[in-house]
Amino acid sequence: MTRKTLTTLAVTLGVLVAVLALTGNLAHAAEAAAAKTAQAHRKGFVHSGAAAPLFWMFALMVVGGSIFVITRKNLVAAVMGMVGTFFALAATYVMLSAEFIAVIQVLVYAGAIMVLFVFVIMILNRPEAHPMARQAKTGQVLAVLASLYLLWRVGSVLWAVTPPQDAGNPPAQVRVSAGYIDKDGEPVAPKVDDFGSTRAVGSTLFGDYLFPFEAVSLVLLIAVVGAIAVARPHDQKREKAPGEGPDGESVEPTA
Amino acid sequence: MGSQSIYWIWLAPLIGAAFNLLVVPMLRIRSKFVVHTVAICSVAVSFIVALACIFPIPGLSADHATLLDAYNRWREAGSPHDSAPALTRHLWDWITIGSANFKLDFRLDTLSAVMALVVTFVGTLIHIYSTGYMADDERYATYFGYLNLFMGSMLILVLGDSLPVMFIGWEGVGLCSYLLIGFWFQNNDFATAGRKAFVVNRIGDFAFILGMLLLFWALTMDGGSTSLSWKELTSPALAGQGGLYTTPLNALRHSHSWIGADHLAAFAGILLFIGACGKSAQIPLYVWLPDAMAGPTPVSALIHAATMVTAGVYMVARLSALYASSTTAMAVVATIGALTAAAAAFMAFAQTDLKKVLAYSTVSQLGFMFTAVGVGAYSAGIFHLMTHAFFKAGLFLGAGSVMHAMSGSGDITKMGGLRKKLPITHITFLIYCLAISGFPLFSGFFSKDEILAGAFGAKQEGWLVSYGVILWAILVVAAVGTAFYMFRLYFLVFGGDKTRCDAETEAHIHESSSSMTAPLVVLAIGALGLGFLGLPEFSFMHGLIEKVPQLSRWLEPSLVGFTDHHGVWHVGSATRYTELSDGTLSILLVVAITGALAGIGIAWGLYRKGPSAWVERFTAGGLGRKLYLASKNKLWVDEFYNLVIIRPFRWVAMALWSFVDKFVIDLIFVNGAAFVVDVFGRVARWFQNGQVERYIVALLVGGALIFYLASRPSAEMTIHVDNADIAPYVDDILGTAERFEDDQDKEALALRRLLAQKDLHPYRVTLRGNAGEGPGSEGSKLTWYLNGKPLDRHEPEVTIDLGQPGEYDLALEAKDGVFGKSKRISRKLVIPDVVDLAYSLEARQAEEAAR
Amino acid sequence: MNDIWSNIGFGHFLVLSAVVFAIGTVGVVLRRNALMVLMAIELQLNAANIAVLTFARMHGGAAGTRGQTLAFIVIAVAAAEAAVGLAIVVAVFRRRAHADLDRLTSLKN
Repeated sequence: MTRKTLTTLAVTLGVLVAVLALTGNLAHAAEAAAAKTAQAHRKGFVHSGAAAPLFWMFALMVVGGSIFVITRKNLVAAVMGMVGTFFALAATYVMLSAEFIAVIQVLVYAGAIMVLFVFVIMILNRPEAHPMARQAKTGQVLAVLASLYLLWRVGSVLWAVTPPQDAGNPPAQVRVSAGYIDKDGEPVAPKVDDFGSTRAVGSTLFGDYLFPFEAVSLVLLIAVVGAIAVARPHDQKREKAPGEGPDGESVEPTA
Repeated sequence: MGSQSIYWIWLAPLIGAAFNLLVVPMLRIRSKFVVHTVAICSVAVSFIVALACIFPIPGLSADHATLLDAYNRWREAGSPHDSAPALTRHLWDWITIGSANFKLDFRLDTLSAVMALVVTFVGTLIHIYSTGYMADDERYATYFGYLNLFMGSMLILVLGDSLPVMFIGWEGVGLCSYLLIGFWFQNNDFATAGRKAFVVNRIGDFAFILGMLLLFWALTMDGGSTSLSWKELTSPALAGQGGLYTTPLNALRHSHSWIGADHLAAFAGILLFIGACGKSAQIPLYVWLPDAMAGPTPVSALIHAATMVTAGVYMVARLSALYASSTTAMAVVATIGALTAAAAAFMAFAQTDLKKVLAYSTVSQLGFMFTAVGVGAYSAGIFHLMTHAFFKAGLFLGAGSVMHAMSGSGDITKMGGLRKKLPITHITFLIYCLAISGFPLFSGFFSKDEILAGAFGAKQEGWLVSYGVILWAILVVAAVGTAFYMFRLYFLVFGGDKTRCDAETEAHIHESSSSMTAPLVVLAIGALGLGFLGLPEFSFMHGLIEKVPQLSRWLEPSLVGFTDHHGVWHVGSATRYTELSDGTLSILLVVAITGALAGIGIAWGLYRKGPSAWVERFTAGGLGRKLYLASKNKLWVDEFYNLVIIRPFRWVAMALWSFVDKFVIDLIFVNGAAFVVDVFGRVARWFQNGQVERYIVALLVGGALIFYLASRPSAEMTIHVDNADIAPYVDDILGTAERFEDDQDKEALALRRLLAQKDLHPYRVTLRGNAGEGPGSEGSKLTWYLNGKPLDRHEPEVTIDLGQPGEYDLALEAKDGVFGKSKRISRKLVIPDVVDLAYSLEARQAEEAAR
Repeated sequence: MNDIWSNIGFGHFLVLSAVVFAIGTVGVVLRRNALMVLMAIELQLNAANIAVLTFARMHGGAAGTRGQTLAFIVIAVAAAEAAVGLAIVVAVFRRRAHADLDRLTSLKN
């Protein structure tokens, strides 16, 4: 990777983090403060007034970022775009009172998964000659049409979803069971905390959903082992890529 | 061997056939010796088994269980006509479906015994002859295989105990006839001849099947089942007075009057006879026989002289009860027989091929036989069948010997003077010719004379007064003609001193080997000596007749006829049909002898030195020429058939082929089906090109479709009528109705008050509906409709008081909240008037009380 | 008009989720490079996450927290899937020197 790219990346990251921090707070402030939003809340709206443009901004970033991602020829550019999208997405999560998940999104997705993508891109290192699938226009047109149709239809249904009464109100504090009982036989409920906070999600995760949690970690283990098994070099004669030397190393200058 | 083993009679030849047709090619046996030994032995075994079953042969036959024993016992019992001496063997139940109860049964009675002995004996001789004649043929084993197959089929035909079993054999001999006529199929003409035989036969078989079906239908009309066995078909229930045979067809159930009032027996008999025409070469289905001379000569001898062609005569004799019941059928049979006899004789006058003359002679003699059974002289017909088998087979075998000597040629214009060069053939041939011409004391003389006497004295009820005499006259003419052309043939072939062929052929002339001449001798003995079986019944000869075994007596138990003697129906023998006086008989005899001698004499006069110059002058012009051409061209019958039948058929076939076959079937159905499959295949292939994206596309399209289907609006609706149970209040309602009968309004008012009082609401309905449970159904809006007009009611449950009885159209419309689409369902509701309901309830209550 | 633009309801988030999902689908179908396709799949998973979190917020309370737990698990599983998918792409690339989905047709017929 060139220095220029790295700088751009760092700057973008920094800006995004800043914006996120700011807007996260801003969103909360807007929510807690405005009284007229209470009325809006009763009607089922989540944000209104000052917070609304924020939503539109982040939504635009998400959608724009996605389109950016899928239309890039250069894979690294696509990955970068993806990272940006994830940041905007994290902001959206914050607007949905899911702060913990937002942070996890940045950490895991943008931080780990995309890095993995970058590694693999470096291994493959072949720019796509023709990014868009050339063959079979019929299939493409059909698929795009089907997707659009689905989007419209599903979107309409989703748009008409009626939330329960008072759903728009800021979420109350949550009391979750720790998953075990105290010496009197009563289920232990730890301290209450805000909806969407780390403690709330953590209590649920390690309480009621301990088993799924362990299962997921097993899934991760299997994934790791499987990935190694699949991707390790097998000692057999294989086709050589044009840029490969006799011992399998790449002779092209890598960044 | 008793009745248990009669099936070996037909099985042995079939085993031989299987050996020669299957085992020999499989094991590539090249030894001619093995082939013909197996073949001859299988037929010989058949003959021996037949002998042992019929006559007591020490060591072979079962004690006191032969046919002869049974026959003697029958005679001692006074010749009762409701039982007959026979050896029967039931093999198994063949078809038992519905009213068909066909069994695979075999019957060796006196009639089939005669046939079986003739067939197996002559067959064995011909097998022996074939070893010499076909010695150089490379399909030796196939030939003998076919020959054995033929023997087996013929014996099944003869020994079968019912029409269906006989038909098995009938078809089998037709098949073998085809195979053997077209044996040298490499020659196109020969193959065509075989085909012609089969097709013409088939036409006859079609009529035969119709006859069988007619009998089957008639017998099972009232729900019974039948096996069409001889016993059933000749039983008194059918043939006696008032029996089914003499019932007019339109009196039978389900028949239509336009079929006519004639009897069942007539129709069935004529249909079956047409089948016999095909098989036994009578007019109009004889055209295959002359062409059939394309086959090897032993084949002609066996099939077309002795056996297959006699199947028709056998059939008519077997069903004597049927034919005797219908003078129409008998007249048809006799007439066609006589006409054929005369016409075929005429056609033989101008033929120049040795075998063709014999072929027409066969047709003519068969005509004699049919005339005999047609006038009721069944045993005469069978007797002539027997003698004819011997001398005709002998004639053919002799012809084969001659042709062998002449290097394969059968052209009699090129023969002559062969009597010195082929002595044995000559002597035997002369014997045969004398027999067939009816020369006194040869076998043919006796059999022909019996036929002539039978024809002359035929007095069937319903015939023209002297119809029998007319038939007799035709037959006499035919007999004279027979004598003439046979001796023409004899003189042209054997007479004179010089052979009219070229030097090379002449050098080759030699007498045949003993394998060929021995059968000739045996047959000649038979042609000479069998006459005693049918002595003319002069009164002074009665003593002799009693002592000598007579065929007519032997056949008596099997040929049952029912005759009307002075108004009373009798079961009688079908063998003695006429009582002619001695004088008449002797006149007939004299006429017959004169005719035979005249024919021989004319031929001698014209041809004794070879081709006749007088005949050439006579046929040079005018009437003579016309007659000559008519005879030479076989009365142009083949050409006529070609024009009238074959050409139109060909044309239709071509038209059908080019349109139906080529266009409709090939193009539209075959190619079309392939095209449709291809189209579907293309569509399916599109999905499976290995690219993952394509699969995702399929997923998406499918998903879109499913989602569309799932998110369509739906609606459900139920209707419930409030409390219409008026059963306990029927009387009150009816009372109210009656009280206000004249005034409708008062009645309505009173009824309404009554109903309200009893809390009955027969005109009030509660409707419940919902918008289903699909996505978007919560936000949907319901609208109720009554008779097409919206009620402005939107709740899921509404109650409507309709107020009056009648027909209502209730509908519910659910409008989807998300997409705006709506779905409407409607129901018709009929509310009956309360008073009518009360009346009907009352009626039902009364009905239940009455029970 | 005013209502939709300045009052953000749950429908907005849900429609956003649908849009991102559609974009992801189009990306899966139209792109040839396997890595691109994997990224588009990640987009789809994120869209699903948005929807889950929206409904979690809609119902609030303990149920909502469970929704967020689900979103967490989705992220974890997405990570695992991405790892394995990338491993496969690497293995394929090793054999065939390209990662072009259009040319990977050995599943044909």
